[in-house]
Amino acid sequence: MSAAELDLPLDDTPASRFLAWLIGGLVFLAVLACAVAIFSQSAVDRLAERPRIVTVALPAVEDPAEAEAELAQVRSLLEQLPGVAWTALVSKDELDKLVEPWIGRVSPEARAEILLPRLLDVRFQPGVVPDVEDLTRRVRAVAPGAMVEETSPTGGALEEVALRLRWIGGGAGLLVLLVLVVAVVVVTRSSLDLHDETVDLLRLLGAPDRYVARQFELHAMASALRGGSVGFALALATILGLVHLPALWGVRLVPVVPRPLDWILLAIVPVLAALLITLSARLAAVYGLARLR
Amino acid sequence: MSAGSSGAVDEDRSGRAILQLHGVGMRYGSGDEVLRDIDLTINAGTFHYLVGPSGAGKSSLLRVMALSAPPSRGTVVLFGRDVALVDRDELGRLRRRIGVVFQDFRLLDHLSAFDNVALPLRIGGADEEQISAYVSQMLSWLGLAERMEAKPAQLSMGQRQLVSVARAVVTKPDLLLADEPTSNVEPARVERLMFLFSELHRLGTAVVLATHSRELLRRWAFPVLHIERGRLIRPLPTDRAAAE
Repeated sequence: MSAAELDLPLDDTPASRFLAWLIGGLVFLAVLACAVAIFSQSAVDRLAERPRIVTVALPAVEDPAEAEAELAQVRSLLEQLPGVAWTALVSKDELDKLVEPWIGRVSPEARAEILLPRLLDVRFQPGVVPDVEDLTRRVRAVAPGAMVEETSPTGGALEEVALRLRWIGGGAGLLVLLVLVVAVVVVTRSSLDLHDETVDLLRLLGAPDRYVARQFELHAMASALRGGSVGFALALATILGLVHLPALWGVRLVPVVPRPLDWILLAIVPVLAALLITLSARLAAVYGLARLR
Repeated sequence: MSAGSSGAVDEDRSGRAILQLHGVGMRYGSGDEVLRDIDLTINAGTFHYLVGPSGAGKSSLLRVMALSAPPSRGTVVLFGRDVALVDRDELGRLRRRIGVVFQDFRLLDHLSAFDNVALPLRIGGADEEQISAYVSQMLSWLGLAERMEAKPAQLSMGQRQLVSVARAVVTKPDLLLADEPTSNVEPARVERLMFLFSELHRLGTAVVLATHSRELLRRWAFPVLHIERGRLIRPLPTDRAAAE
């Protein structure tokens, strides 16, 4: 005697037996696709964590003392702002290199006669996004005519690739889950047709449709747990292999080290798949039973 | 029980009507009608044999009464509800008050004898402790204590029939419909089965038992419904029905 035994012999048909394998394979693919999306998001997040730099250009002032006082005032103001890590005055040599494309190489005497704005690099703490407009307003209160602009280095190609991979991985993951739902619906409907006599008997014994649908739901859930666990374990092994094995030969295939949160998000994929499978089987059975009336 | 236009049966007992068939006709597909103009009332706590030659419509009538097949015309009122008008949940509730012994047993091959008998109790939402007690008691009483874990394929025809009977009566239904429930059972067990049906009847279950057995009709005297060519023709005293 067993309460766990299903009233419908759902494991007796090839399609139902195959369901666990199918789920395993698709969960494997879904986890891999989601790993690409999650690790890419992780890379994008890390790139966003790089400290941001803003350059403040103070208008040239002839009087050195006045210039010095104004600079000190502006630095003091900036360094007191929340999120600012430090400020640094761009050196004269660096400034010369910056303007060289416009004024060409000039002698030191001629250069001394050219009044150039003073540039101040303001570096923010990681994760702080500077409000350039507010900063401009504050600086201009002390140094009228000052210009403020963000000069953070861009993420470049890596960020671009990470962003694309995030969408591709996420899209592929969703597509695989969609295929999984369709497969479960097809298998449930075909099982319902194959077992119509048993379903008829259960109904004759007074079973409401929700009782019969529960049989399909339980079978799908058991298949999801069996197949999903295997698929997830294999996907995990594959990911760990891709992350760690090439490192033994000094190669790095995955350019980011996954965070604990990434693994947690990955673990949600088979759980989500199991929920989707169970719900799909139930709905397919309920609609199928309505058709069998 | 009373049968109207097609037969002259009027044997109403004091019990309330639990099943009424009005002008019921039935055909399979586009074939001829296998049931014609059946008017019949079954009251609570009654016991009737359903007799007639092979192909007369006994099994079809039982199928209509068990809500296993819809009539092609006429109405079926079960426990005061016109079954054509009830929703599916209500239909399930009505069916749970009927026990059916099928001629071909209709046991689930992948389930043990115990689980087959437990099926209507599980469908009804009984707890496992209750199920274990009822089913074990029922199977033991029918002499199948040693065969509870056996699958139908491992049982003899007679044992399968007993399991089918146990499944039909385990819920103590208000209406028991049995199609040839003793045909494969050894004589010693027939006695037991008939005692079981009589006890259910005594406790208030209405029983309709289709049979070919003259022996049954002779030994356990109950009113007889006679069906021929799809019509309930007349009531027969038990001794005459047995003789015929």
